[in-house]
Amino acid sequence: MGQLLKLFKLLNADVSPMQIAAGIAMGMILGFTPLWSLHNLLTLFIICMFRINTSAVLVSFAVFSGFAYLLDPVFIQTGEFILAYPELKPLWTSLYQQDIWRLAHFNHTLLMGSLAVSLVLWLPLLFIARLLIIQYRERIMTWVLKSKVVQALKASKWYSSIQAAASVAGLSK
Amino acid sequence: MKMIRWQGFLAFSLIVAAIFLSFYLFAASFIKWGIESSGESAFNAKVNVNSVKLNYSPLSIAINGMTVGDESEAMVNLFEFERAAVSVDFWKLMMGQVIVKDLDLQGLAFGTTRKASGLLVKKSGSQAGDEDSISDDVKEGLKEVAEKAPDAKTLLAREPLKTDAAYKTLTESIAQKKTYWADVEKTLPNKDAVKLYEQQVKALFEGDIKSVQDFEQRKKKLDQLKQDMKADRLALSQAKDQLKEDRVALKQQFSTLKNAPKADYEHLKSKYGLNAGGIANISGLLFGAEIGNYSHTFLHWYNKAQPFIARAEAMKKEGEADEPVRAKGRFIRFYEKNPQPDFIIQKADLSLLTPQGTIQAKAKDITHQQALINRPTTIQLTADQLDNIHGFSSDIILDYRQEPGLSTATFDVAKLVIADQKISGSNKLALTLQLATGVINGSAKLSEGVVTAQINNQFNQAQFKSSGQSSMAREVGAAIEGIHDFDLNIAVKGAVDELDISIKSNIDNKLKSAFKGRLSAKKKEWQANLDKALNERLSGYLTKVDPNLGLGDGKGFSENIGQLDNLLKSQLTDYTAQQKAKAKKEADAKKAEAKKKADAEKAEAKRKADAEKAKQKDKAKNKLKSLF
Repeated sequence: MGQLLKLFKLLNADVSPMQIAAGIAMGMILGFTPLWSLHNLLTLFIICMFRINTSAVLVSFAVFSGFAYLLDPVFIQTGEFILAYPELKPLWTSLYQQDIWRLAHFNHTLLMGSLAVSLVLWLPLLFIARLLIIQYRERIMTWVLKSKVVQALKASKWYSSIQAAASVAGLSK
Repeated sequence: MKMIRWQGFLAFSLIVAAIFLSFYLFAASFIKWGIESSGESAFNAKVNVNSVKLNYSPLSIAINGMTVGDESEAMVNLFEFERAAVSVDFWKLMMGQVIVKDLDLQGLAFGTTRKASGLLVKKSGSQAGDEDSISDDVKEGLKEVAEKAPDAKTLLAREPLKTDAAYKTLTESIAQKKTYWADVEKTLPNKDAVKLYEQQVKALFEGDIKSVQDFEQRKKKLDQLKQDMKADRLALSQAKDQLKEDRVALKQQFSTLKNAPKADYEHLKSKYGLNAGGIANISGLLFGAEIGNYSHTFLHWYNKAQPFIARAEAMKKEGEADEPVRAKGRFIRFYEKNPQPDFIIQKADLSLLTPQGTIQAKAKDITHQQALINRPTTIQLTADQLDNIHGFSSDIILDYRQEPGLSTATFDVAKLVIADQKISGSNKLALTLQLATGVINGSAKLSEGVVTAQINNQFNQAQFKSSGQSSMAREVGAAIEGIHDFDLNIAVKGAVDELDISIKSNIDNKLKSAFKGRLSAKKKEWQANLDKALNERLSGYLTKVDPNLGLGDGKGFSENIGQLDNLLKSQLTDYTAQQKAKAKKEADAKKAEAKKKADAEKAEAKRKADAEKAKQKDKAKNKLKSLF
């Protein structure tokens, strides 16, 4: 909930929409693919090294992990298709001879399928998320902030305590 | 705005370091938990590990004190071991393959007692003992040996005899037929019925026919009577035929009864045969109990291993499956120069603790994917010194590279010492092998659940001791005591849960020759007694059986049929003919009367003429007399 609140604040703050969108896109990779895989070490490295919003990564990771439970069969089918694709077989065979690729579990159907889907969706998701954030800030943010629900939330003790906690943690603007 | 944040590298390094540090610190605990939880799901019983120690260079795991419960027995371990050192290929492990380079397992023991229940879930009572074991059957057979060749009276009382069965069949058939014919005879016309027909026919023929109508009425009644008589005749005729058939059937059964004692005699003679051939299977009955126990033990462990074999098969098939496993995925294999299975123990050294001593085992290539390495799993067992066994060795090959899989085993025992081995504990014939030394070798195959095994035993310096109650038991005991060298060849074939065990031994031949001489006299006496007893029984039965087999002779039926046939011949002539006949009869009567009258008159005239003639003659005579 804290992360969600933080994301909500970020959306409303002047953090670059691209940073948030990149966080959502990277979170999707973490969420869709098996977590304890070698490629996620690289994903984590990219998240740390580049100015990608980590809160967006964490929220996106949680959301896309939930979707992954539903989409796993699709990922497996996709992985089966890719790994069995005749034109690609020589490539997979050559990769199979190298320990580093074996270590990356590239030949696992779920990993291959989910990673392939994630990579295909990564760029569209990046731009769509960026566009939506911009649109949100321009059109919805004001309306949302004025909405009765948000006003009621802001007036609640719960919000105050979260706000206080966020201040202590240096999260508040 | 800068794209790269260098402090992120520090964060990344810290995260990675934290992951590796956690792994380093908690890996042993994690592995211990992993072994226990995966073990419990595999064996469906409690799995406990005392401690796990992890070494990183080279990667090896030492597991101390592991017990695996037996899901079928709460207070028994399926197995336990004191220490296991496992050397694992780290890189392959990271790639999802468990390549155990070396496994050193010490203090492995099966069926040990637990201090606390090993069940994961509460189970109902053990099913052990619900079914008769093979050894129980053999023990029953052994009991029979001790009770062999009883006297004829006991034998006839105990054995199911064909004579008894034939008598029972005959008496039941007679009773059944009696009831049947009693019912049938009630429906058939008896003498009274035939007499009634006679009276009715006679009544029709009595008196004058007064008119055409009267004639037709009588004729109609006669026809009706004839119809009834014909039906009754048919019934009688059919009954007569059936009676004849029943008599033949009963006679056949009677004949069977008369011949049954002979068949009984032959059967009992061959079964209890006080001949040498009759005890030819005595070795099977003597040693069958012990061998039955071994086969029972084999079956026990096979049944325990079967779920794990099935799981290994399932894993193997899973690896080869064309259809993906939903939501889990699978590793796709591609060509590689030196393929390795997903799981393999390349080399294992085990010390197996048994009640008889320690057996050393060396195994190679333990995997469920033998086809990948194109080598079967091999196991070598050796034991230099076990209780009473010297020089035990066995080679086991589990070859599942192709379907169907084949497991083969060969084994040798250089010297087996048997001391005070009770063979038969029966009070009728107690037999103990006090001392013997033996050499054993054997081979076995298991494929598709079917076992084929041949075990050859050669025993020397045997000293049997026996005691028996009956003279027969004593005879058997004495003959066995005279045997000091014998072989015992055991052939096993069949499905693992339905083993057909055949035991052959030259002990049979030795007993046969020993018994030939000893029993010849008794044989004759016994056979004569048996013959006599059977004949007495037959005589007893024959006196009880009705000579007519409970059936009539059918004469009554024949008489009634004859009378009915006569009655059926009766004919009623028509009215005109009857009138003519009457007129003729009257004319004939009148004619006869006139003739009678004329004859009388003629006779009177003749009498008168004769009288006149006599009178004239007398008169002339008198006249003549008067002349003189």
